[in-house]
Amino acid sequence: MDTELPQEEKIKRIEQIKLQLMEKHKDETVRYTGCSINCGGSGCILKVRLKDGKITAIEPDDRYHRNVGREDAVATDDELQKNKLQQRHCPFAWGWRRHLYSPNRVLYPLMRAPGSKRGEGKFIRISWDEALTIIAEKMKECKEKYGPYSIITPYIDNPMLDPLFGWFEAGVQGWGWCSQDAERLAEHLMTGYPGWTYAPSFDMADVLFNSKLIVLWGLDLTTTRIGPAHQFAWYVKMAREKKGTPVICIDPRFSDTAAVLADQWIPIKPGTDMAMLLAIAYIVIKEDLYDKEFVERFVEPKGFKKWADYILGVSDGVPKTPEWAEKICAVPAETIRDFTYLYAKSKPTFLYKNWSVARKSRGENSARAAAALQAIMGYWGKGGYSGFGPRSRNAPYIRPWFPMRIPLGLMPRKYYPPRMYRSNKWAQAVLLLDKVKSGELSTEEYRRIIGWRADPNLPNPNPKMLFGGGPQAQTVNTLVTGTNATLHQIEAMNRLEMVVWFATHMTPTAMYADIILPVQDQTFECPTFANNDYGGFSHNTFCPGVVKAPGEAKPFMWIYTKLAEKLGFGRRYNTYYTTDENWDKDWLRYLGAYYNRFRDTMKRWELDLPEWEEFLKQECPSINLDEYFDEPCHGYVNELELGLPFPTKSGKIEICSEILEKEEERGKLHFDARGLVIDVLPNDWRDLTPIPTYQPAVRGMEDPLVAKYPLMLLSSHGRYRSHSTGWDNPWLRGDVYRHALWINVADAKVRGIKDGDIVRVYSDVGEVRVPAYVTTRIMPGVVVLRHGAWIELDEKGVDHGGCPNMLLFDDKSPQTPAHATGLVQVEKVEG
Amino acid sequence: MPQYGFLFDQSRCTGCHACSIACKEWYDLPPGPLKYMRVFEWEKGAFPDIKLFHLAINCYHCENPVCIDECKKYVPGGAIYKEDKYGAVLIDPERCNPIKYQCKRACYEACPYGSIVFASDDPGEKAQKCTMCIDRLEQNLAPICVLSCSLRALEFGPLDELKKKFGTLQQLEDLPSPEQTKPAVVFIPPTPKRQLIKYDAEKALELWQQRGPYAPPGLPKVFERKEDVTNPPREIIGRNRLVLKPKNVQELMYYTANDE
Repeated sequence: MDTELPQEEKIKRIEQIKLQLMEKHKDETVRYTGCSINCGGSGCILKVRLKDGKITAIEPDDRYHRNVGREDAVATDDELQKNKLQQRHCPFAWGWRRHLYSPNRVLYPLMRAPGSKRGEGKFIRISWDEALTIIAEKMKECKEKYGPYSIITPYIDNPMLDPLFGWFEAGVQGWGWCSQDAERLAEHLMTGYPGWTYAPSFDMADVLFNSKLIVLWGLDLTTTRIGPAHQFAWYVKMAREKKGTPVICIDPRFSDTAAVLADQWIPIKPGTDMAMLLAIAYIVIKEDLYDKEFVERFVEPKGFKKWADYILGVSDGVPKTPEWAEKICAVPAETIRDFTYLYAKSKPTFLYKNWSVARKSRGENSARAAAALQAIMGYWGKGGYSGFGPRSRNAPYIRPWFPMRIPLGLMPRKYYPPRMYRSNKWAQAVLLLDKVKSGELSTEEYRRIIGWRADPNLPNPNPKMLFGGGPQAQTVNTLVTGTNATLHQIEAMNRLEMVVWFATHMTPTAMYADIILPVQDQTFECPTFANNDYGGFSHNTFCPGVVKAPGEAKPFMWIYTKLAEKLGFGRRYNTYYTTDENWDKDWLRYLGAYYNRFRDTMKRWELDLPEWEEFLKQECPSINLDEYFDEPCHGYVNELELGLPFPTKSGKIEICSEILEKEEERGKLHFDARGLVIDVLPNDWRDLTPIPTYQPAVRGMEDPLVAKYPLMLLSSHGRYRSHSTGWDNPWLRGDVYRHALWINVADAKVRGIKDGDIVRVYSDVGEVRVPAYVTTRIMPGVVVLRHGAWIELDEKGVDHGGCPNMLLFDDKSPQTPAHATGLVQVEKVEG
Repeated sequence: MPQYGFLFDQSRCTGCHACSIACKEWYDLPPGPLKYMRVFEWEKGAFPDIKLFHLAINCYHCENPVCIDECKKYVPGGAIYKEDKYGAVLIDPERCNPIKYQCKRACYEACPYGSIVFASDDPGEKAQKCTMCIDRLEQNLAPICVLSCSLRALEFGPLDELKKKFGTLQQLEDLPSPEQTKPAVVFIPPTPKRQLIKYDAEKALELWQQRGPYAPPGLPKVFERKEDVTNPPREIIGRNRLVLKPKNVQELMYYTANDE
């Protein structure tokens, strides 16, 4: 055949093809919003295309370098430093539209169908008034019948509930934000700054322009929250490519970071990082490679000496030499030495020990040791250092889901909900009460296990009602994300008289609720702010609410306000509220007040930000703070540059905690030098040591339990979910990724497993079935099952979704970090 | 004739799939095999020299598009055209008709990159592929994939300009030779690893095998045979090679998905 189409015909056909393609996005309008998913970095700017009140497509930010793909080929150093760059979003956010319009959305208030069991998923639609009345009546009944400590919250304390419980004068919360609690504790104990402040800041420009060596310790920044969307990976790549900055990745996984961003990969046994950190400290102290002048000026001397004595073996007879460490962490002594010399001469080194490293039993140690090591090297406050984690500009954020910061209403003074348990231990707080009642468990031991952090004179809780969900995505799917055995949590729910849940989507956790309240999506459906927090740059972007919410979904704060109204103190809880019809206007007034407070703070920095009304008129209302500064930011400017004392008792960096040294402090509530409660330190810190030491991890690679469960499980975050949000997005799971168990090829071979085989993964608290990803990319003896998979339980209680939470449990360690690791066994499922 | 093309920087690609999802978002493509942008990940080597490759690959709108030649053998005048303004290779959905012309996916067979995709394994499915975002180009917007990459690994522009800026490399490890089809693409290869500090892999593996000094005696070793780590059975490893031209939908989905 092989004929040609007449030229004219061909041109006509091509025009037709073009027109057909262009038809899809005709007559659309465009609005900008910030992505407010709780990835930890977040705040990416989304350009939303709309037609007929629906989102038709999302495009990336185009405020800078419009139409340029390779931005660094055109960006100036000034633009790189001031973050005048596109805030490109991550793969999860590319799937936003499918997520928003998912058939899985909860549209109406629901009540568990009479006669059905929790978890069966049978619900009937009720009105908002009915739902709120049922909840309010039950709260009153619980308070009256069972006392003020009968209403509890799960995983992560909910700041919207504090004033509500406060005015109601009943209700208990847990403590802990899970993600970086070990670092928050380290920061509070060592510097006196509560671990949610922004003193130890750095930004990515600092790393690009000033770091002489980049060490990514346990950090896969191409996948986790500070990953693709947040420039972190890109900046590391630019540092390596344009500045020649060497990059070392220390990780049991040959992660994408190890493969793409690092010059060299050093595998380390998970949970033993502390041994290597101590050996590095041993060399720098023994060989006088540390910064004596810095230590003299800024580090509390007695604590430093205690730590040095421990490291050198003066106090315990065991010098923490590289030869000592290699047997524990499996990094050869020679490598540790070489690493240390490179580290010590690279001034400063950006040593970023990821939060994941401390998300293990006794992870408090590595969080403190990494920061202490950076301190004695004098790297704190220098360009490109890292202390406790990336936090950009030492500036506040506009966070309407933390209404405590800028009160939405009057603040109750009589009652503050006590923190009676580590938030992820809420199920144990419920279940272990039986043993306390039977005398099998003492109250002291009960409180030790659940991580009591409250007045020791209060009685134990008497949980009857669980108030779940809110104010952010990760908190609404506790059975999946709660870093504690799923089956224990289900059992605990079943002990309670009522479970209330807030949900945008029908999650497995919502399925166990008695009442489900539908909430609006915070990126697209109701006005709020998105911030870039841990991404290394600082900005606040307004999310105007670009589409109407489906069904009867309501904003979180409307729900709390209306519930407060039912309980008789609505106007006190929310002083901005006038009428339902005026909700949007009232809420905007509140956001304006929040913005103005932020603007006032910035005035103290001599920054003149636009007025609220002017701000809202911008095409893309967003404050990029880095634009206002000519230098990258460094941490602890007040102390290290201006000479003010650290807010610790000694005024210096304290490597040794005085509280942890004193046995008489055990069991009490703990306060810092300024009288603020240390919110991540339970009354009883169990065997946490005053200085950071090596303590073998419970359920780590040296635990006798390996006889039965020989593989160490890591539940790292993936890139396609923010916690569990996005699991049900068909553009993601099954399309661009498979949710599978990473297992080393040697471990697979001896078990007769090949890639794609379904395997059973089990611990002493649960079992999951997933396909195996057989790979050389993880060291033997270690497996990874990504965090946030939704449970799909069969009648035997086996999970076919592949949720690592099914397998996690630890009742022996100190409680600050929520442990995201454990020990498991893996077998091939035959047939 | 002008020829626009793409830059793909393999030294930056982390295999995150943002580009492929961005493409599906813009064209509102359903979940499944209609991936105009495919992202592959494959591993080679063994501890300690593991090699991981990523490839985000669309249609390269070749200067010598063999798909067009093949198509014309079955369809009078052909159902694929090379347009003149950008050099885009476009499939005409109205003229593509595999049942009528019994072409047996000749275009797909001819393309060395496997860049043509089908909605299912049904032999009646029409061929589809990357359009170069010609609808966006006509509105002065760059292709969506190029704007989606967090690592800024992609660029689009006149091919000769891209060559001037980013070099003339047109072949990467495991990819076909560019000679036959003259693809409108330039590549940047992976950055070589640098050994900054000594690392004795044999000793490390020896240490790794032991449970550690704090473990009680008698516990099982961490793993049994060192050879299984250093010389692993390749056939049980997932995505142990690049399969640019999968046999069917199932294979395509397997090779174009990662494990998070």
